[in-house]
Amino acid sequence: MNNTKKITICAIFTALAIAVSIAESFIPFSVIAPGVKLGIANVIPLTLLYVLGPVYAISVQAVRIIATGLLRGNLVTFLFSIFGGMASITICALIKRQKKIEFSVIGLSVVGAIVHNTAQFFTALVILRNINIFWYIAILAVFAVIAGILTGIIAKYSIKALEKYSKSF
Amino acid sequence: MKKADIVLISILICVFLVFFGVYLFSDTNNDDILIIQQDQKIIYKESIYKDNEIEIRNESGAITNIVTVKEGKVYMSYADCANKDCIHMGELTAGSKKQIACLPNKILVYLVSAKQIIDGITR
Repeated sequence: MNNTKKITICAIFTALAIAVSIAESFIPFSVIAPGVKLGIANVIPLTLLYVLGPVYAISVQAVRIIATGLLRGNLVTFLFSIFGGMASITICALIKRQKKIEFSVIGLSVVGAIVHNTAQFFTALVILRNINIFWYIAILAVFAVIAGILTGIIAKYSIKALEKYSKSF
Repeated sequence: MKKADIVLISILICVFLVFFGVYLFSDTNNDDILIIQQDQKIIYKESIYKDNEIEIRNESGAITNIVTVKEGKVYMSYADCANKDCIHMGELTAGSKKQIACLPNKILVYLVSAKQIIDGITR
């Protein structure tokens, strides 16, 4: 794939990620427990990590979070998204790079979900300076693992589809 | 799924079980003093049995949240944020282990016991 094609794919995927992030905010996952999210937008950087590599995945994630942050939410919710999102994709990229422990897409997605959750716990800790919130984040972490498995399965199929597509060039 | 995936998920399940155990056995039965914290400062400290409606205002004086205390139950009755997670967090009663948090407005509502206040554990 040449650079023009890579950049085009990134542009389409960034737009898709922003649309998915906003569409997801209308689904009332809070019925399960307040704060629960499927995080389906994370499928996109994860897919790009496999198809185009870490630089593209991390950049798309950054643009997605900044753009959705500008479109809605306040400074605090933006801080949560940026720390959670960037920590998640960076750690995923590092884990994928090393060859000692080999995870599948689903495993890597679960790692991403847990890192996301942990980063948000530390952000909340800095903002509120109260350790009591730990229990709430621990409950959310259980849902994060389930969400990680589900988004991992979606990512697995989108990687397969995109790899097939990129071979046709 | 690969072997590493299964190992990872199993480890996580074990960690969650430990957390759940500690959570279940933590003693909060005497917690009946309501604390409201805004931006790292405690702005309200009263018994949960004293009915009240606490308006929380931001720096510019606009009401961001309202906490209602009624017949020993505490809940967030109003929030100006988009997702209203704090309202969905439900009620706290004496001995509740949970908290109500409104992260966009940096508000945390939780309970402590009178002993904790004497010990100075609560900030």
